Amino acid sequence: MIVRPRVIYVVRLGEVESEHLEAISESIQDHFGLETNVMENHEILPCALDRVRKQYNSNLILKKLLEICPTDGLKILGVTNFDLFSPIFSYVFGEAQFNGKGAVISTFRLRGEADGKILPGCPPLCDRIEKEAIHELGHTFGLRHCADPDCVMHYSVGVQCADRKFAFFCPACREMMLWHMATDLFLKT
Amino acid sequence: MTEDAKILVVDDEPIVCLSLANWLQEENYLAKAVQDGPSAIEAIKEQNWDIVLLDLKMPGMDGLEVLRKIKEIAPQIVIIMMTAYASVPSSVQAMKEGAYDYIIKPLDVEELTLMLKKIVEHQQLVTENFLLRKRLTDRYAFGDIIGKSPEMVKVFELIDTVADTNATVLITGETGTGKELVARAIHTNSSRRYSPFIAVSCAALPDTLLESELFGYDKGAFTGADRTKKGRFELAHGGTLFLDEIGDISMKTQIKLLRVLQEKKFQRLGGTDLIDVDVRLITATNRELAEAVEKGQFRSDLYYRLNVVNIHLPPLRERKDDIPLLITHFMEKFNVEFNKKFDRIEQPALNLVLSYPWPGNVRELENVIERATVIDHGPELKVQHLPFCNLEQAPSSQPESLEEVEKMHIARMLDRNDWNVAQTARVLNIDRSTLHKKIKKFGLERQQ
Repeated sequence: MIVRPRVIYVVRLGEVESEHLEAISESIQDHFGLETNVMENHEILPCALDRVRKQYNSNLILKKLLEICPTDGLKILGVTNFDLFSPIFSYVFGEAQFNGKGAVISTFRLRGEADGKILPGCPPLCDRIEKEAIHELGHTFGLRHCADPDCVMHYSVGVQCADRKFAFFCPACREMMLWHMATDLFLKT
Repeated sequence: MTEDAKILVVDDEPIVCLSLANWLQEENYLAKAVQDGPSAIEAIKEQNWDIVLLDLKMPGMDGLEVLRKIKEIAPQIVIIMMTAYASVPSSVQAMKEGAYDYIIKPLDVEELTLMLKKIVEHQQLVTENFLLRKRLTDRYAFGDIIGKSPEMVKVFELIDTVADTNATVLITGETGTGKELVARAIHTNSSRRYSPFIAVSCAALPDTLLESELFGYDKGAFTGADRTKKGRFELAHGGTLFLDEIGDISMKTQIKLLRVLQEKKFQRLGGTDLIDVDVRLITATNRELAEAVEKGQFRSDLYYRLNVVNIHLPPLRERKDDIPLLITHFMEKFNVEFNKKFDRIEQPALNLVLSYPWPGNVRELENVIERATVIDHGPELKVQHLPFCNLEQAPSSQPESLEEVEKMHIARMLDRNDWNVAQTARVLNIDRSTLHKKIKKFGLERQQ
């Protein structure tokens, strides 16, 4: 019997506040209507550390996430509190495989300051993390950046700008996401 | 350039090429990556790119060399240099050589995003500006007819109104005013535009030849008619037949033409079969047809059939507002044809052009600009480019009577010969005494 993957796994990479993981899980269920499962992992982060940059390589984390993804996993999302970089960029909020399976997000720069400290007067961190998680998962469902400034898939330059958008897909992106999701769920082998 | 701007990534590190190209594609750009200078130059030659992200330090051909080559091939491409901290002075050098900006590796995603967005927005503005300018020019044009004067705007409106009807149109106006262009504009804006537009200059052909040209002939119709030939009416079936200089056709041809207009049928010369035709007729003349009708030189019934709609084209001297627009239009046209760079006219030349009466109308102006673009490179149209200035200063008002012309010519010749009467008489080929009489008669005096 073929087991079709239909679970989105949320992987805690190192120490991440439980309430943030719960918020992400709930939001995923709301937006994608899929079952979520939270996993713990302590092995991936040490492998991805770049000691010179003192940051974690998001490309490597993605690779490792794909390796540990269970067979019923439709998507896998890593969440970390550490700062991420990709080989070409000095830092990233997150990274996703476009139209693929894996994504990773960092809460580090969402906290408001480069050192990861929470600035007074910031909107709830949970809101930002939720938006970033849905945004990166949107990429794994084949969504590109959206021109609608209210849409969660809108690319915002800087974290403050991201606060202006909502944690929802615009009608066009939602339509597109559902179409891609149907392909992922029923057509991909 | 739109959001789908095309970006070429040039970097010797495969990971940078791959990651950056993927990231750009996710950002809705059309991206491709190559790993060395020669491949980059090949890619530039193969297709158009809007932006190049170019690594400064590469083995073999380095970034600066590639930059120079790209600027030679396609100077409009925006080039952003990618560099490490240590190479900032080289990046400054690159900017002196035409790079748009530089960005330090590892790249700041926000900085790169904003930079690309700014370039795309700027390019969109440039494109928009170009399109708006073009649209502005198009507002003053109807096909190849240019003009913004109220007279020409009325002509454009009339063309627009009559184009999609089947009404017969009579276009009047002096020679060179663009009567055939109007006829073509009517045809191309009508539902007949996908069918033929056939033009015949009636004045260019002797009467018998015109008849056979218009109606064709059957084999054996006359000596030399060794095969059946279709006439212009048949060739224009479904489309438009334009008869230029209609005022010059003979009475016999007028009758035949009238019959075709009434019955929409005709016979080839020497033929017996009636041939059905569906042709829209547009005619043109520089003669006063109404006068010709009064004098009995042109059939009144044909005149009224041809003159269902009359479009009169004003002479150029009556729509001088259009002259600068026409000059620009012809400069652009001949710049492309002769690879020249004319883009303006000096004020004294413009004054002369505006005061000249342009007896040959737009066609004469076109010839003047063509001549200038052939003999010079520009960018400025000058007085010496205007052939009519070599004759004499263009008079502000043309003399009308023969006597006035004679007076003006004698005065001009006297001035040219420093009022030496004997010499002037020789030039004018008249006796000295005759010249003296004329000087007295016209009251000519030497101007100090």
